[in-house]
Amino acid sequence: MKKFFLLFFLFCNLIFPVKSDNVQQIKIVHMNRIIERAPTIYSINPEIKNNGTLGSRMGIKDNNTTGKFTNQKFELIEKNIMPHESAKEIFEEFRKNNYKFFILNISKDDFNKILSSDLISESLLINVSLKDNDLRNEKCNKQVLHTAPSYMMVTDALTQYLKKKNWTKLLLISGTNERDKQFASSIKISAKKFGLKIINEKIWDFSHDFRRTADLEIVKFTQGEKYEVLILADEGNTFGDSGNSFGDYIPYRTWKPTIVVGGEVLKPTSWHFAHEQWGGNQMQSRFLKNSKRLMTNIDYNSWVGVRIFGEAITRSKSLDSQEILTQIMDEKFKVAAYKGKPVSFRKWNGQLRQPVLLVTPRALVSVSPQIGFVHPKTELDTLGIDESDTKCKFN
Amino acid sequence: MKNIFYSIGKKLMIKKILLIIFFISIQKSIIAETIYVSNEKDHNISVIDGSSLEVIKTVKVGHRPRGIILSKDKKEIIICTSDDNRIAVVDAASLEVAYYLPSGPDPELMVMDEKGKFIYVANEDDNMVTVVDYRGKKIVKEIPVGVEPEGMGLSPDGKILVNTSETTNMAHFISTETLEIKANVLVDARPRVAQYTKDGKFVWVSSEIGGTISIIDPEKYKIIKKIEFNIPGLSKESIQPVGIRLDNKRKLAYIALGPANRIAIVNMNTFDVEKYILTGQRVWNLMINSDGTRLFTTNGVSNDISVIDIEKQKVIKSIPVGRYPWGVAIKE
Repeated sequence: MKKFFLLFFLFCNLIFPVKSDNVQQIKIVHMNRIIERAPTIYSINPEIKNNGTLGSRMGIKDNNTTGKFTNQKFELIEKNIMPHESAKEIFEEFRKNNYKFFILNISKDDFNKILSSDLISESLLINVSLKDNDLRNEKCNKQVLHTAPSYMMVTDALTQYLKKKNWTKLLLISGTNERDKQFASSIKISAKKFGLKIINEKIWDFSHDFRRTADLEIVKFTQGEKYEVLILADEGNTFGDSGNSFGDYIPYRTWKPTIVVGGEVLKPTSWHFAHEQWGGNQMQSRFLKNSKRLMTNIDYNSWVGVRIFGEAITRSKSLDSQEILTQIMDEKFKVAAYKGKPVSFRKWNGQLRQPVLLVTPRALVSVSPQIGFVHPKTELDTLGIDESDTKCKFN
Repeated sequence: MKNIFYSIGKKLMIKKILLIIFFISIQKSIIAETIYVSNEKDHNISVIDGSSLEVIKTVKVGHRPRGIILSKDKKEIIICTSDDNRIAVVDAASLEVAYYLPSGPDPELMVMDEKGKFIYVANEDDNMVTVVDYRGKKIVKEIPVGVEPEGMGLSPDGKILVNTSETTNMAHFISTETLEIKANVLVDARPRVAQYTKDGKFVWVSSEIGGTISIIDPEKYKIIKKIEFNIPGLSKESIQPVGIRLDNKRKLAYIALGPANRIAIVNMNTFDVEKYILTGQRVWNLMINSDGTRLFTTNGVSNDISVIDIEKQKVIKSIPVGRYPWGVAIKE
């Protein structure tokens, strides 16, 4: 009889008890780089407040609804890094106090410095904003996961769509900053991969304000070029501020009637407020109710990041970062993320495999991978750096 | 001699009468069946005649109709109109909205108890299950559950309500007496539908994103079996189980596989998949008719419903309805 009671007791502990006092506390740090905003072309283009942070806050709220039943309490530590502050120093301070889980919305420079820190081991970092391919290739790190899609993923998503439409002759116009260049070099690889042709490439390096004369300049700029689609490598002038770009001045001003893609015109991205399929409208309305503004891609990437920590910790019941990472990288670990397909991680570079939306400023146009692009394992791996092409070596 | 002829004649007569009665009864059972389909994007329901299998009427019910059930006396059609934050009740005879019930915000799916007293509603945007007094037309209680509550399965004795929450990934077991959660079982990602077996011994829960069916022992709150699906030529990600219908004999289960555009027929004893049947696109919810001869599926992307002959295991007709057909209910 005693044995029976003992077994019964053990069993009761196995299933989740509804009420108990020993609640597991989980702290997630959201680091946010504050930038000095460059003067915008559009004075009507307002800065998005708490971009990313609000996504993390909702992720914590969702995790805690689950946590209520699993006896886990998630807490978000929000840390803004002011322009004069060092992200690395702040990160190390958190590490010394044994914080392990980080959502990072920081600049490339910040990221490189954190990667060089000795305190990175035993922590888990989720990159929610940087698309840089090298962070998924040569500079990859086994403690780092990316919910932000890489440049290769977004350019593959865009070119798949162009290929499907059979618009295959491209004129590439690139901006001059580092992100524009990365987008341009990725689009060249994507074009080759899916059989599109870049007829000519031009650099946009004009520096003056086009509000009055844009219609004339761009006519001349595109005159005589033989192409079907004009593609922009225009990732914005400042980190985290894609509102400030030249691309908006290209459509309707070209020499011939032209389809323009890239930049903010037709943008490949992880999230957009017009996306409502696959339960997306639930997410949009929940976010709007909680945050009083529309959800951005950085909010979404942060939300996914916090949810991934939550799911992995709920299922592993452990706070050991190695165990959690093993859980996250497990083939069976799939997260519902309102995109019609489960999202999961590529074990070769820590990138979240996910569908990519193609959006205009106010509407959704399509979702890649496009039907017909096949892959031996999963169609999602037709976007981005596949296992056979990876230059990432985890040590 | 006369007597013999008489009796033979009488026998033939009886046979004839019996045959006539038989045919009448068959015809009657087919004619009497009516199918109601909620069209999420068209704000209406399609009414389909069960014998001709044609849409005979569409009825405007309110914004974003999803969950649809019949009252126990089959005189009323009850529909969650999610964007109106209420339940529309349509009179089955006049096919007009008779009145509305309160439901709490964003009602999605609902289930009614056997006595027809309470309706249990999942409030998707509000992380609540709302208990509505059907005749009293008022809300009795709100039960906090996980994020995006969805599936609602009632045990045959009406004592336990199983609610799934899509983002919390749990099946919540709620006592209908105390209206409190008794236990929570973690299942695979994005659970959608929960269904008890007729004998009340198992609960089947579909996980849309996890791609599995979890079979839960409701006494021990433990998953005893997970069913996975493999369809040659389709990636695992496109197999997304949603709707579940279990036959009354505890023999076969029918599972709608979403964008795989198929339903799976699963043996309820061995848990093996016996057959996949091609349907319309993004098949979500299912309903078996009262005599167990036909299965109706709602296909959200191709905007039609598939009618499946259960014995032949074949689609016999596709019926075009409104945009985004979501739920289906059948009146015999």
